[in-house]
Amino acid sequence: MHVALAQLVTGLSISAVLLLIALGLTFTFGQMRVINMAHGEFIMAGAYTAYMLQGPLGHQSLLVALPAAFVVAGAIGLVLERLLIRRLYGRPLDTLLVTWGVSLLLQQLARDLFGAPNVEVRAPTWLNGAVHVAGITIGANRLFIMAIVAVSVTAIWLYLTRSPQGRRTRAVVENRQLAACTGIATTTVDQRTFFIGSGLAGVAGVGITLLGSVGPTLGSNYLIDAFLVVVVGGLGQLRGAVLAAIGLGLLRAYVEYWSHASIARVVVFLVIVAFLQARPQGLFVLKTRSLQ
Amino acid sequence: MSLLLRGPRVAPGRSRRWWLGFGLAMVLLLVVAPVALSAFRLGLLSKYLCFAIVALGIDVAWGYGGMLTLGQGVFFGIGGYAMAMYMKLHQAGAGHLPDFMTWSGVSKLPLIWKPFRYAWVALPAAVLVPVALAVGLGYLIFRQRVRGAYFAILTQALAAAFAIWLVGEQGLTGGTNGLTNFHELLGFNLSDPANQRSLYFVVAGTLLGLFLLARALIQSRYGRLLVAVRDGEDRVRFLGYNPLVVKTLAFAFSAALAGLAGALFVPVVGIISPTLVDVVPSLELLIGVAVGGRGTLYGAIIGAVAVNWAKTGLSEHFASGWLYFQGALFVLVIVYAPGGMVGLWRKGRDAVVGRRTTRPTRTTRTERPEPVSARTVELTSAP
Amino acid sequence: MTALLEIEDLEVVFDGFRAIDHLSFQLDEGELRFLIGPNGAGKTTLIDVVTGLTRPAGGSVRFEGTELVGRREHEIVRRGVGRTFQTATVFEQLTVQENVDLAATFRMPYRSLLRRARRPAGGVMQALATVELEGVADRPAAVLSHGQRQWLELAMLLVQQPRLLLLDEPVAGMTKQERSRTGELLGQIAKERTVLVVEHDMDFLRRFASTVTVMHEGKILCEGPLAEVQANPMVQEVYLGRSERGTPALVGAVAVPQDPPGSGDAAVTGGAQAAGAR
Repeated sequence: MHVALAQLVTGLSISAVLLLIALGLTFTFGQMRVINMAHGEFIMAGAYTAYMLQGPLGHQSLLVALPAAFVVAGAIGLVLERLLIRRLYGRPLDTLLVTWGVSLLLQQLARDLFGAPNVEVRAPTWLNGAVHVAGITIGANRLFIMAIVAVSVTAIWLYLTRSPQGRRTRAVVENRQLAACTGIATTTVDQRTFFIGSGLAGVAGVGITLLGSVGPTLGSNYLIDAFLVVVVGGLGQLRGAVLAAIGLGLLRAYVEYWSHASIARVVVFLVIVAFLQARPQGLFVLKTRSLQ
Repeated sequence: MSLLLRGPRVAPGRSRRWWLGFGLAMVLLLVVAPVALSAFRLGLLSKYLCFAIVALGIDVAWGYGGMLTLGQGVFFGIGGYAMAMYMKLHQAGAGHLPDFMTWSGVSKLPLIWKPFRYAWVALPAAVLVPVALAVGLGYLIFRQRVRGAYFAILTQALAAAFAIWLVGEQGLTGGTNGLTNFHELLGFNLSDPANQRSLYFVVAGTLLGLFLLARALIQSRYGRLLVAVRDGEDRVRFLGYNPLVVKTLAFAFSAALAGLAGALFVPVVGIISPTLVDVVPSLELLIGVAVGGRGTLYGAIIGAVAVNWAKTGLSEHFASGWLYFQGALFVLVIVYAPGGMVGLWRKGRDAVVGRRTTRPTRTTRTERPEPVSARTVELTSAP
Repeated sequence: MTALLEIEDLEVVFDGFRAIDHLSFQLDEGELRFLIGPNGAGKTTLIDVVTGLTRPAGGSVRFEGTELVGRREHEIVRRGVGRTFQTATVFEQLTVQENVDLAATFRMPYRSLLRRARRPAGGVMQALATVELEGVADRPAAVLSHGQRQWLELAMLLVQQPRLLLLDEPVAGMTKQERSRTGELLGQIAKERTVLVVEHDMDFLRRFASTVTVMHEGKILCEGPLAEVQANPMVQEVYLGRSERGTPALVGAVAVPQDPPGSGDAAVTGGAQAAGAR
């Protein structure tokens, strides 16, 4: 029983990180049909931002690192969008290949800038503790990550539903042409989405530093799972991403516990293929008939 | 009105010129290369030609069929491991365990290894297991009309899961190190340069044969159907075809080629390991196809050889250079030359000769949303 | 005589919007029927249901006595129901002849499909001749004009020899000459087969003076010879009543019954085009 509960917490913290990464993916994918393989490198950029800030700012730097990583990763995303991705709108598979090339370049750049060996980000002392609830021990770092994600997701939800910019975003996701016809500047909306999506990946990168060390391929380890969250959740669907991230995170945590870690990915893959037999378009489908 | 459109027909000399080109390639591969290259370089070329076989399959699935498969490494790996398992068991001798198993404390031969004692199981399995996997997976994925990016993501996830599983099952698969240290194949000593040379001829001959096979496939009615499914899957349904069959067949063909290439790769290079089947090598093979020119079979082969040759050359001289080069190459080719080398060459030739191509090249189609199911804004706006 | 196509109590719902509302409809063997109605009446949806593109919420569609609901698109085609689309979709990367050839071989087993195609399949050249596209047989379909694409689609349909043809706005966006040519073609085709045409163009309808079915809000409003339908006050109410309430676009789109022959052509097809565009 305790073990099952402990795995629940582990699973939820995996879910939380995946969700933050998948949010950016699901919106860039849903809105612009862009499959961004360089998204993982935004995570890495966020993590290295935290690493760079701890020198000058010391122990409490993590709190500064969160907004800083958001801006740094967002800016890199924006540059990528302006320089490359906009040339490839309407060619989703080509975008996938191009952004993979970018991902290779950024990884090598990180290797040359920060060195190939992994580096450590020291967490503030108040994150080293643990909380005891219902007989199990929960690391403060995991709680902190979940809190970051909860705040981010709420902020995104408020942005999408309450702000005029968010409404425009949803309009573009639903029907780009129609949105353009009603006077929405779709390019501006695209850039904003890309900035926010990339920024969230950066925030996720800071969160990941609490779980382990930081290396140039940090992002690519998480990227495939995050893509699977998008596939299961449905394109451009906030609630779909939340449910899918929780589901996949828990599934992986429990399978890893009950059998080997090596088999967990295979099981997750098979479960997803089975899931697609029932819901080929994911948990939630955007009901416009002009898609795909 | 129709008179205005009457254009030049396909040049009659086209077929003769093609066979001339093929003959030239044969001479280059089977005569010039073995004479001109050192044993070391010829071994490298063997390796590139193995990758070219995989590229040929990718081109059929992706270039012609529009299925962006990022998991060819899985099929390549299955072929490779099947061959390696046979060679390991043969080398260990009856009743003995392969060396790595003893090191990892395995005392009894795992069940899955047993059939691979026999060449007549292992060699067909190298092709048939990938085909079976591709048919099963293709059926499940295409049946529900999961396609495009979703397909790409799923195949990529499969490659990642497979590689992680291989690493984790140390006693069964040799873990991170993979399977290596091979001395002989079917009684031939692999360290003998003469045998390595013969192996080169086997690989080159296989590639040429498969190239002709792939070409026959593409030029058949099925080949047209495949292109039609790529450009309008939903429209093809209304012609009375089931795209599921069309796509699964092409995917299975690409898997067969990858499996066969994996089986050839192991005796040529002497190792199969998880790093060779993961996402990165799967994507590297795609670069080859893209650089050469997707949608032309010879383009895929030339591209695969060229990219791998460049990889070896660059990483020999400066280690990190290759990754920058690879990344930049990918970005530049896809953005500026989606037709690859073949596309550029054709464009250049047409500019010089000043004529327009008489036939659609079937290479550089920009993707578009499919029109059929996208109809009726009418209904969404009605209520 | 039993009906070739028999639709009973059909219901299609999109997110609460009832696109087809308990509709029943029959089409006899050898008939040429026109289906008209304002935008959103459910005409194309009806064709979509028959051909398996849209799944109904209830009801049945029987073709030659067998149920089509629940069958997949290609199975329905193999039973002998062919259709065209509002915007002709042909395979631009293939030549005109290859397009028709692809349609012609739809019953060929895969082992024959895998063989090299040395000459076009039977009926291909004939179908191309019928639509007068032999001259461009070896050109990629990408170079065809809009009207030619419609004809190519028609040739692809004819070569399959379907028992029932469903044509979705076959003359939309065509020039006057193209329309009259399509009219001749349709005349020929209808002699041998059962045809259901969704069309707005009144001129086009008049030349066949056949039976017309009027749809409105997912139901069948009335059915009968053209003159009778035109005189029906309910039909006039549907077409004109709504336009008076300030939707002028509909006037052009729905081919007002008293449309003077010839003069309103541009407006009529123009409106239909705009409605069909996405």
